[in-house]
Amino acid sequence: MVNKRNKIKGGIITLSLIVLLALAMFFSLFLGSVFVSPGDLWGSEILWQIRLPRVILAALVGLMLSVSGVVLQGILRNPLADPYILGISAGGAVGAAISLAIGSHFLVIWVGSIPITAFIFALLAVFIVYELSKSAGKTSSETLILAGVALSAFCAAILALIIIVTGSLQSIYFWLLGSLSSANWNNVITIVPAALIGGGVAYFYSKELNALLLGEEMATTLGVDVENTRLILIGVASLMTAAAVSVSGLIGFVGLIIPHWVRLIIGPNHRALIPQAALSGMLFMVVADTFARTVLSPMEIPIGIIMALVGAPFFLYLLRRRRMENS
Amino acid sequence: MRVLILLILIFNLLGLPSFADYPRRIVSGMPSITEMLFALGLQNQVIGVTSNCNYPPAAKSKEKIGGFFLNLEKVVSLAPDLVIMDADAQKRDIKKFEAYGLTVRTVNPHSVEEVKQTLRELGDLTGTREKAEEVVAGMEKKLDFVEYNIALAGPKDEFIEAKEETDGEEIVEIVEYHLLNIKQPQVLVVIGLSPMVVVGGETLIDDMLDHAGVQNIAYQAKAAYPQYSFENLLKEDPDYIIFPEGLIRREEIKRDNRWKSLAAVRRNKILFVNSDILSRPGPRVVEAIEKIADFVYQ
Repeated sequence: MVNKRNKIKGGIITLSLIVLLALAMFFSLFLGSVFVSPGDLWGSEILWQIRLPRVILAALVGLMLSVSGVVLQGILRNPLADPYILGISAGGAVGAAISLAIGSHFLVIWVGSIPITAFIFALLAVFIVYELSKSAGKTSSETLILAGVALSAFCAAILALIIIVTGSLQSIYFWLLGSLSSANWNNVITIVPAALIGGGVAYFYSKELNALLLGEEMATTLGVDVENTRLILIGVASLMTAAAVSVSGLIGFVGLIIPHWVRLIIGPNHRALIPQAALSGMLFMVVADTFARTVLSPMEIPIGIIMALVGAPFFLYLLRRRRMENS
Repeated sequence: MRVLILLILIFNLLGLPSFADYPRRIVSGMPSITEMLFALGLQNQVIGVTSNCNYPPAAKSKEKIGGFFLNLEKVVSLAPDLVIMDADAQKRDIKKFEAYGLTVRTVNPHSVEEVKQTLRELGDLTGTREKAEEVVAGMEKKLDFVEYNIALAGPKDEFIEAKEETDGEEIVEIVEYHLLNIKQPQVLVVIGLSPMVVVGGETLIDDMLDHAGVQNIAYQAKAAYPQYSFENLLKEDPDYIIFPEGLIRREEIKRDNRWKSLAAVRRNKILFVNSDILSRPGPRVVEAIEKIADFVYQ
């Protein structure tokens, strides 16, 4: 009975999220730094070349960051895990910047190469953090966060170094503050596969993620190949983070806020959590980005700033609540 | 002692500069300043430049005193009797250097006119005023030639008619009349891509555009180098777009298909100007002006 009611509740939430997302995407197409009357919008380049790819890109980035958050929290069994806090985003950014720098010097630029190097470095980052913080099959929050902080600082330094050496000082804004301002169709096409594969695999593994919540031993007795699952899911989270970073720079806290918010409403079952976190992440990002590009128009607020303004206090709140629970 | 005083007296009477008067060990804190000093023929007096000072080529072999931020130790070790720096960009270093007892003079040109003025000031400061007038005259000659060519690009028949009527006299007035009547092409100078940053009004580059006979569409912006949205760019759709070569690569424009929606890009009305001559307030500003005018009024 309870199960059935949950299913109905989940269905209603999913449906309303889809409706809200569609509405948000639709209305954000009418907003921008330039006013275009609704009648002219259909035939305008501003809609087709700028707003539409940007809204889609925002949605995809939101999806990938929030699903990575869910996946990381699941495999690390730690609710404070987030691709930005763990330094995975920064690792990906280093990869993307290296690819860009090499591309600009040897002129072998190949759009696809940026997410791939970003992916390799993001993967490297997640393994470093994971190995450092693993103890008795569980990761301790303190080491996890500390390792993430150190790795982030290290990667940010490498990133700054690359930017200074290649002389494009201005692009440091893009990388460190995160922005969707360079959205175009190429970017959308480049990251669609990562979003589809990442989201799909994560959803496919939701049963395993549920089992992992009970601990490694329990999961093993439930027939889950823990090591393999973990490996695949880490790969998926890194892939999505890297794809997001390579088109939008460092945007933090999405993977933290969204999963927490969704868990509060529908509970920890990944079968519902993953799709709803995906939808909420898309919705959140579309709304935040519309805000970012219209509020101070024609100037744009890098969306990373907005996310940090909202996300960092939320993170502190979570820390405090956990401490109170523990004591 | 008497002999020395006598010698100095004789030198002064002959109108020769006495050795003590003008600085002989000059350190330049900016590439534009280096260019001006070399243009004034002071290559032997300049003993220190920044690592960004790449013009004229001879400047590259001078001692380096830092990049954008200057190294106090290095400057002091060169024992300069004059350090010339930019009043805006190097405020912090200027205070530091003065506190150390170095003689610092600042320059801060923000327009072509101010570049000329700065050349004259530096001329006075270093005893090369005559050379400075020569350099300024050379720049003005080039600018006049640019103006003349722009006027020629106007309604031609009218121009030739007027020229014949007056037998070539009053040519200056005719040129000016035509400059007023030409519909100036709309231009945007894009200096950064993500986020997009452009050149606003009341900047050196804006003034250079003015001299090149084109209108900066961002001249009303509040900031000197404002952020610009792509939507705005599409709406304004300027006739020409100028990029600083080296800071922005042609590849980056080609790769991003949003640019293809712009008339200027489709008609290949995009110009890459060497970022050094475009951005440095030195004698070569006229080269950038010439380049832009040539491209637009070819």
